Amino acid sequence: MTATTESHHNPRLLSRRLRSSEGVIVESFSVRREPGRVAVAGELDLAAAPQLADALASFDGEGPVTVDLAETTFVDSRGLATLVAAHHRLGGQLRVVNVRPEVRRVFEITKLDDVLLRDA
Amino acid sequence: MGRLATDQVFRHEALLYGGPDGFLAGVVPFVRAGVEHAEPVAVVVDRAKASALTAALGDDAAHVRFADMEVVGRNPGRLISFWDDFVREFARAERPVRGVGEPVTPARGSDELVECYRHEALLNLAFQDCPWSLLCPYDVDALAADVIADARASHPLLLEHGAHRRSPELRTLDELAVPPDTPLDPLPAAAEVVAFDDRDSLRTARHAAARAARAVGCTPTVTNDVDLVVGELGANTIRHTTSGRGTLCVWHDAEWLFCEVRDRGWIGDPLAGRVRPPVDALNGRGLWLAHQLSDLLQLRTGAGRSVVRVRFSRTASDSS
Repeated sequence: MTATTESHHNPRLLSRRLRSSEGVIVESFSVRREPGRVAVAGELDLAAAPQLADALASFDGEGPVTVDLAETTFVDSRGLATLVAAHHRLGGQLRVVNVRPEVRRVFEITKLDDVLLRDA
Repeated sequence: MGRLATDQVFRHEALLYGGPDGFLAGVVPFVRAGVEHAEPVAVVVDRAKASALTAALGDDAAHVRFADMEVVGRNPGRLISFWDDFVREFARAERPVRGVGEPVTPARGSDELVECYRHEALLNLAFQDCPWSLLCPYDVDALAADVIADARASHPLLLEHGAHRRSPELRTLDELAVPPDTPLDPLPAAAEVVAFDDRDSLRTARHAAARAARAVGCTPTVTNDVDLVVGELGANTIRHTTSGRGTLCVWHDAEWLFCEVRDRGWIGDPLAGRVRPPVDALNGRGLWLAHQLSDLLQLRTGAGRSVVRVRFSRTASDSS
């Protein structure tokens, strides 16, 4: 965790910054919370899933919520589990839109495409 | 525990046949009996055998679901999940189902045959309370004697020369659950080694694996699979071991990209990663995804030690 800093200047933008191999700070993941909507950018992996969980937790009791993955390039099983957990808590009122082809594959293999994915 | 596998309601039978004619002589009556009783039938064999069987079955072939072993069972560790899906599909209708699966062929390398035996052994555990019928053809003319001996040890029933009998060499469920201890091929000196101990260093490690995949010509889809599988294996290390420390090794040969994750954990459940998690599960997808997306997964585990080695094709096209 030493190479990361949280972005505090905008409380609605939870971002995560890492040093790339060249030592440059690069944005690797961000969650933007809007009314009824969360836009996720970057790699939704083990490291990033807790930030998405926090953003989704803030909607508790006020669904429906749309998760926009247009800028998401990677989703692992922790990312999927975060979406599934929020889907449960929101009584099924969570939908995932704008999934890239390379990310759609993991939804299809796990059969979560039928549960979570909707046309934008 | 300690129960003989023949006490199960799952009918797991090895067909010990010789040559293409022997295959048809054993498989056609089994499939036809299922069709005549309106039982769902699935057949997972290679394409040549599927063609021969289709021709021999005639009109009955239309009632059979064929799947290509080269696709479904390239990694034999995903076959239990395939059969579980098939059995569950008809479980509510309470109809008996039957399958034919031939994962063991002379085309398999010795490393694959170890994992095929593991699969055959674990079928007995996975389906011990599930009534369905699976026939596993073994070509005694083409396979080595020790492979046939493994078939006799892992199948409660044998069909040989047209006669059914209980296998006298059948191992107990406890014996069948024992993980393989066959050593993995040694790591080459040129392997890239990346240690990880937290979520950020794991991300660095999986990026290294994806970079290696691209560098050796893996397709974009395979490269994404490498990225995901290494991430899942490393996530298991971080979440499920005491130290959370692991080592990724990446190397290749002419045909495959290999990735291996080592840690100090112990994977105690022999069926871990082999059964599809419920669609709404919050855990248990990682190792299952690794089985689904890799071309072979070799797990070696014991007290305080786990090694998971996966390989991916350098030459497969994205359409396959």
